[in-house]
Amino acid sequence: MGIIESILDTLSFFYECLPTLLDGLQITIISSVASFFLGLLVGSIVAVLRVERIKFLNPFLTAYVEIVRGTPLLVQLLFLFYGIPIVFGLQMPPLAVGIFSIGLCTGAYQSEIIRTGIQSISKGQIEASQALGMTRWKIMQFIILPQALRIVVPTLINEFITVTKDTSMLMVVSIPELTRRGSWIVYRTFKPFEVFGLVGAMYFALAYASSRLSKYIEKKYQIKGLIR
Amino acid sequence: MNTTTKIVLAVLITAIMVGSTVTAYYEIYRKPALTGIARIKAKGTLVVGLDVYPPWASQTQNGSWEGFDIDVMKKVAEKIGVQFEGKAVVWETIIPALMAKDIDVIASALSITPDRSEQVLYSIAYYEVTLSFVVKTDKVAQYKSADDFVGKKVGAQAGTTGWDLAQTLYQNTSTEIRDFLSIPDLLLALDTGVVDTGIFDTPTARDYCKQEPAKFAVAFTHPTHGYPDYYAYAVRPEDGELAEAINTVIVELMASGEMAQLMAKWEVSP
Amino acid sequence: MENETILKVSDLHKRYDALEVLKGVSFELKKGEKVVIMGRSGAGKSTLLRCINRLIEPDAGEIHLGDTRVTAAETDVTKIRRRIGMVFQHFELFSHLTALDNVTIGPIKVLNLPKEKAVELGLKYLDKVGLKSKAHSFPAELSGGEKQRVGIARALAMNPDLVMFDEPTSALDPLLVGEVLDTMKELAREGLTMLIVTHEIDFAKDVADRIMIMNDGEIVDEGPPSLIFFDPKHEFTRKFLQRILS
Repeated sequence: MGIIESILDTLSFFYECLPTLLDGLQITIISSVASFFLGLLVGSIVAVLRVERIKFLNPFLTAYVEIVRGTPLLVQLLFLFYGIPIVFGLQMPPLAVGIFSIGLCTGAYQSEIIRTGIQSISKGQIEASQALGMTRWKIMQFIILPQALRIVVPTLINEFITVTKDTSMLMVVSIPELTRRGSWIVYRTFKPFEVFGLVGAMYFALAYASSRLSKYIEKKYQIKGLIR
Repeated sequence: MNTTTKIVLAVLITAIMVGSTVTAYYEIYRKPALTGIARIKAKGTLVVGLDVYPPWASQTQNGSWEGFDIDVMKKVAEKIGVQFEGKAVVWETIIPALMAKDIDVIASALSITPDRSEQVLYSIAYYEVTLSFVVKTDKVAQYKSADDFVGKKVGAQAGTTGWDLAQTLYQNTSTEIRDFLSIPDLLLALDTGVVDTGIFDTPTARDYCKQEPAKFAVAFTHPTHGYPDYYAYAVRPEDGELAEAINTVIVELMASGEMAQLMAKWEVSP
Repeated sequence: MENETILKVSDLHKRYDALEVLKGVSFELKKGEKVVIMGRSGAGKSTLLRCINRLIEPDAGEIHLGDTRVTAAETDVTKIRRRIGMVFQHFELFSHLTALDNVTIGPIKVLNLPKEKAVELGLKYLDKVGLKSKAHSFPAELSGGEKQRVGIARALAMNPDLVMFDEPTSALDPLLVGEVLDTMKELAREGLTMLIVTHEIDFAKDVADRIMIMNDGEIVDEGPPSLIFFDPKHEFTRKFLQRILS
C-alpha cells in the first residue's frame, strides 16, 4: 500500500469518524463552558468573602479550597456522582452532576486566582474609594473586582483550557464526551492510534480557539496601559 | 490567515502525513524475526490478554488469574510447552494489543462478531451465550421483557455485545442508554439507581448475581443477535499454528468430557 | 455669618506599636481658610490627614467636622468622608474608568445622584480643571498632571466642606507641577477650604493663610507665611527652611 494511498485512507477514515466525534465534542464544549462559568461565579464569591475575612465563614471557605485542590478531580466526581443520590435521594442527570462537580473544582482554583488579583490592587485604590465615602461592598463591587478580574483574564483562560481537558474525566460517570466516543470508534475499528490522534487534535483545536478568543477578550477589556 | 494559524495548520497536516506514513511502513516493511508458534516457543510464555469478567477471568487478591478461560489457556500453554502468563488489558485496546504483539491470545468471554473477524483469527467456538438483563432483586417481578424498559435507563459496556443489543433495541427511543467502563461500574450504577438495568453476558451476570443475591438478579435473558452468539479465542491472522493448537485442545476437552467438568466447576453449564 | 470652624482637631494621638506617630496634634480650620502643612518625611503629616477622615483610626483625641464629632464610635464614617475631599500623591484614579466616570462614580454611587445629573456635574468640574476634552480618556492615556487634575475634579464633585491635599505634586514631573498648582490656586481664590501637605514653598507663600510645621508627630511652629518664611521663631523651622530652600 503506497504512502499516498495510506494518507488518503487515513483522511477518509477521519472523515467517517467525524459525526460521532463531533457529537462528543458538543458535550465537551457544553460541559466545559458551563463548568467554567459556574466556577467563575463560585470562585468570585469565595474570593471576595475570603478577602473580606468574614469571621465565621473563613474556615469553611478555606477548607473548601484546600480540599478541592488537594484531591483528584476524578475522586471528587465519583464521590458526588454516587454520593448525591445516596445522601439526598436525588436522581440528577449525569451531565448536571458532572458540570456541578467540575464547576466546584474549577471554582476553588479560580477563587485563588481571583483572590490574588484582588490582593494585587493597591491600597491607594481602596483609600481613594473610601475617601469618597464608598462602603466596603460598593468598593469591592465597583472598584476592586472590576480591576481584579481584568487583570486575571489570561490566567482564567488558562484555567478554562484546563477545564476543557478535565471534561474527559466525565466518561467515568457514563457521559459520552469526546474521548469516550473515540473509544467507541476504537471498539469497532481497532485503530487507536488514528482515532486518539484525531481526538487529541480536536482537543488541541478547542484549546487553540479558546486562547484566540481570550486574546480578543483581553484586548477588549484590558485596562488601557495598565502596567502590572 | 495569520502566521500562527498557518504554522499550526502546517504542523497538523505534517502530523497526519507522518502518522499515515508510519502506519504504512509498519504494514509493508516490518520484519519480525520469528513468527507464530516458533516465536512463542522461543519466548517461553504464552501471553494471554484478559479483562476481568468472572467466571471466565478474574483476579485474586494476590494478582494471579483464575477462571474458565484461564484453565483452558493453561492447557494450551502446556500443549505448546510454554508457561501461561495472564496480562490485564483494557477491553477497548485488546485487539490492538494483540496486533502489536503485546499479547498472543485474547481470552475472557470474547464473542465472535463480523467486525472482529476482519481483524483476528478465531479459534473454534467453545460456548454459546445469550445476554441477560440484570436488575435490582426487589424489582425482578416488574421486568419481563425488553419492552418493559421503555422510557427507562439501561446500562451497558461500550464495545460489548450487550452495548450493541442496547443500541439495536433502544437507539432513538425514549429509553436512555448509558455507557460504563466496566461491569463493576455498571453494577454500582444499578445499585445506586443511576440505571434500571444492566445488559451483559449471561454467565457473568449469573456469577455476579450469585455473589450478591440480595442486590442483583437476572430478570430475563435475550438472544444477542438474530444468530447464535459464541465465545471463541482470538489470535493474530498469521498465527494459524497457534489457532490449530487451541482448537486441538478444545476438541480434546470436549471429547474427554473435561469440558463439561470445567463448565460445572465454573458454574457455566448451559 | 462669620467664619465658621469647619474642622477642629484636638490633641490627636496615634501610635504604631512602639512608635508614636502623632503626639497630641491640635489645630482649627475655618471656612475658606487654606492651611499648609510642611515638614520632613515621617513627621506624621500623611497620618494626620488620614486620621481626619478616619482612613486611619486615631488612638486618642477629638476631631470635629462642623458640628459632627468625627471620632465618636457611633458616627457613620462614610457620611463624614463624603464631606471631606481628598487628593492623593499618587493620584489613585480608578484605572478601569474614564476620567468622567472617575469623577461621577462618587456622586452616583455614594450621593445617589441620577446619572444625567452626575454627568452634568462631572463635565462641569472637569471643565473647571481644564480637562473637559479628556472626559472619555482613561487614566493610562493621561499625563501625571492631567491625572491629578482629574483627581481634584473627583474630590470637588462631591461638594465637600473641605478638601485635603496629600503632597499633590510630589510624584509629578517638574514640568507638570505648574498646571496642578495653578488649578489649586484658582480653587483657593474661589474660596475653597483647603488643608494642604506640600513641599512647594512658593505655592505656600502665595496661597496659605497659615502654615504649620510638623516634626516628629507634633506641630512645632505655626503662623502666617510672612512670619514663618521671613522671621521664623523656632530654630527647627529655620533649619528646615534652610534645607528646603537650598
